[in-house]
Amino acid sequence: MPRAATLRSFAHPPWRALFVAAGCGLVLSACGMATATVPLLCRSSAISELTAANAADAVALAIALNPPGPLMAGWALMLLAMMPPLLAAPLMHVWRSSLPQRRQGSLALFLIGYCAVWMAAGPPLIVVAVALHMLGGGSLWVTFSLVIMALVWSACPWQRAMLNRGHRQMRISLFGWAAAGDCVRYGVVHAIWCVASCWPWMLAAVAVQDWHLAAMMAVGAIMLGERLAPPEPPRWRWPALLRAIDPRSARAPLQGLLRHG
Amino acid sequence: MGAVRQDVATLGAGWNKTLLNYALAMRALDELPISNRNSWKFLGAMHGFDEELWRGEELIGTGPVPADLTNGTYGDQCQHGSWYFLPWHRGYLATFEAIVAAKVKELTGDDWALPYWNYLDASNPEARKVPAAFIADKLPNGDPNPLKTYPRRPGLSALQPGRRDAFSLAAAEETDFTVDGGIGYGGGITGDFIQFGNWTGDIENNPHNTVHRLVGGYMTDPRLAGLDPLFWLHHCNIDRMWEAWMRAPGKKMTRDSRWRDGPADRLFLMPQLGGADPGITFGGSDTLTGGRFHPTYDDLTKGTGVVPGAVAVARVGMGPSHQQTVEPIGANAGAVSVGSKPESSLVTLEPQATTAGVAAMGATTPGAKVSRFYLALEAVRGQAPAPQIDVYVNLPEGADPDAHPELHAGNLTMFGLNVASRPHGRHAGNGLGYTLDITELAQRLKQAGDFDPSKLRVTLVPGEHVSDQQPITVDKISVLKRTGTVS
Ligand SMILES: [Cu+2]
Repeated sequence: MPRAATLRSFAHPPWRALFVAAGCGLVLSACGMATATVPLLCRSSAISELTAANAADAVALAIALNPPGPLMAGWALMLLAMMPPLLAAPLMHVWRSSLPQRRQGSLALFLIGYCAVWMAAGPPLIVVAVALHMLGGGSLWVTFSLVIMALVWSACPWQRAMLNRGHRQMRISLFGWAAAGDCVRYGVVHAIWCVASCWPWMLAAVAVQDWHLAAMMAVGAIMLGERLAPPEPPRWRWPALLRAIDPRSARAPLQGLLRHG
Repeated sequence: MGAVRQDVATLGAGWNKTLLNYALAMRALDELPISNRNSWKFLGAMHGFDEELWRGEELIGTGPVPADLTNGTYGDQCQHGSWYFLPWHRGYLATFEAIVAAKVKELTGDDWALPYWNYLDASNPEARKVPAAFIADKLPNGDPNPLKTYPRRPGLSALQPGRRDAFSLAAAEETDFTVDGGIGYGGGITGDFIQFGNWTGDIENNPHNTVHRLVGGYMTDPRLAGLDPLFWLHHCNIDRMWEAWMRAPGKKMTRDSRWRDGPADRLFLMPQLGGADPGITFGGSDTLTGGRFHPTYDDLTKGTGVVPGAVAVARVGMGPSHQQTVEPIGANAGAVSVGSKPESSLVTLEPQATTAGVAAMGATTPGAKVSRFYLALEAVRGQAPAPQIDVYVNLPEGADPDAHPELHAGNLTMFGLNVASRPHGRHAGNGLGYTLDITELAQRLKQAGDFDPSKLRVTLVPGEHVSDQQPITVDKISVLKRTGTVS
């Protein structure tokens, strides 16, 4: 029943528009995939030969051989495909806090601040993903380990604390430059907590070799589930993904298991 | 359920059978360990729970806390500051009533229904008095009285609201359960996961919050309030007011599926009689007519502010709730902190929208545009559990607030502010939000020629539990314009 209710809730604004935006991101990602993804970048034969000899050189070469433009465009599309539904609450807060004639502009300013932070977070995540693939020889184990790491991250108290901070709304002034500045600032601050709470999942998504689109959708859904879970005091807990698969696990206190066993 | 809930004032003075049975059942339930899902303390902890506080108050010993109370299932569920306030408490009352009634049956063989404390019944001069059984030292047989186990305001024998306290039936005038954007009888919209719905409904602020503060003691803190046996008679009365309001013509109960289904991220969960798994999950629709938690009252007229079946004339309807709009038309420049002294803040208004709203303020012709004005206090935070403030509009600098009742916009008791302000609590530290209807006040100002469509001065006057040591902060004071069509 909770999940049916959740799905029904998505019929209300602003969800539909956000899912449409994410859908556009997915389609565009699919079109652009030929040129700019980390997996492809790792597969070029020259690089794989180098990998065995000197991993650091290989990473450097891989980055050097690939112009940052398309790579960053691919990253931007990935954000478009995965992030819009996560922004329902802050976008509604900005919308409600603005004069009717300024609402569109306020949303744009929030998004500029938000995207700026995520775009800045892109290069380091991509470099790390490339490096891991080089070191791991492109094996499935790399992806598998990253998913395990993300699951552990989702269980730990620090992630919960950062998700909680992400739920914090900020004051949005109503008039003039103060209003504009508040929108950008809220976008930046919200994005910082967003990056802080979901970077391991994004890293896993970037690093997936095959089924890149499916991985994006799956990770997007996981991050949405984590964002929708109510704030609570930070402690060890079952990751949202496992709780969704088996709701009974929510009742077994992970905290207690860790403390006593 | 089935049993008819009655006004406690009509059950007989002193230790009438209902209250004596209540006391006996409470004593028995309070002797059960907290791990028992039907124990008094477990029931109280379902409203609010905090391990440190409960240990400090010596409510629980040194043993482990039942996982039920901390794992997001039974414990710490109370819903405040949203449209779930009324339905969640209705389910909570019905569960409590069934457990107490079963215990009464077991102990005495009597039937039992939860009585209500009709403290705003104008036809009863004694209405505000705390029923004697709750303050007596002893049971009739000389045993200690369980009904006064938990602390209240020292010497409490009656609710004694101050002159400006929000202790009235004014909430009944509101026509809509929820208008998206923070206005309404029942509280703001939250799909739960859409956390912007931090808005307190009219009935929740007045009289609900005020009574919590006036009773004092455990009743001021949501993490302890459910332990006071008076809590249940108070909430029963609030619940009855809602029932009366719903049945009055012209009142628009929400039909939103998010309300009817209950929150999507975490179900409301009540224990069964006996406490066996699974508990009872429910949503708003389970609390309406035909639902498992729908109650029956002996009377819906006295002390409710509405007469079922009679058309209320106080206020024009504004059309279907979802067709009404709420937009900000003014705001102050920065956060305000109130300690022991009053604080004023200038609210700049958007003159065009304000002037248009003023023109549509008193519309009564069906089909015409009609507006109402609200003062919104957004993201209010503080450390005290139930601080109180008064809000004034255009109070001259240095003037004595008491000399200007005509400028009084409202009185707020911020029940649960401590909990809502905790950075890692359910509200993520977003605090609480309040809207005060200032339409009539704006009309008075306009008639007096004291309404400037480009600005308002708002003054926050501290009341109980607000001090320099425990100030409250208001992130933003804004003016909202609600617009609809006269219906
Ligand atoms: Cu209450």
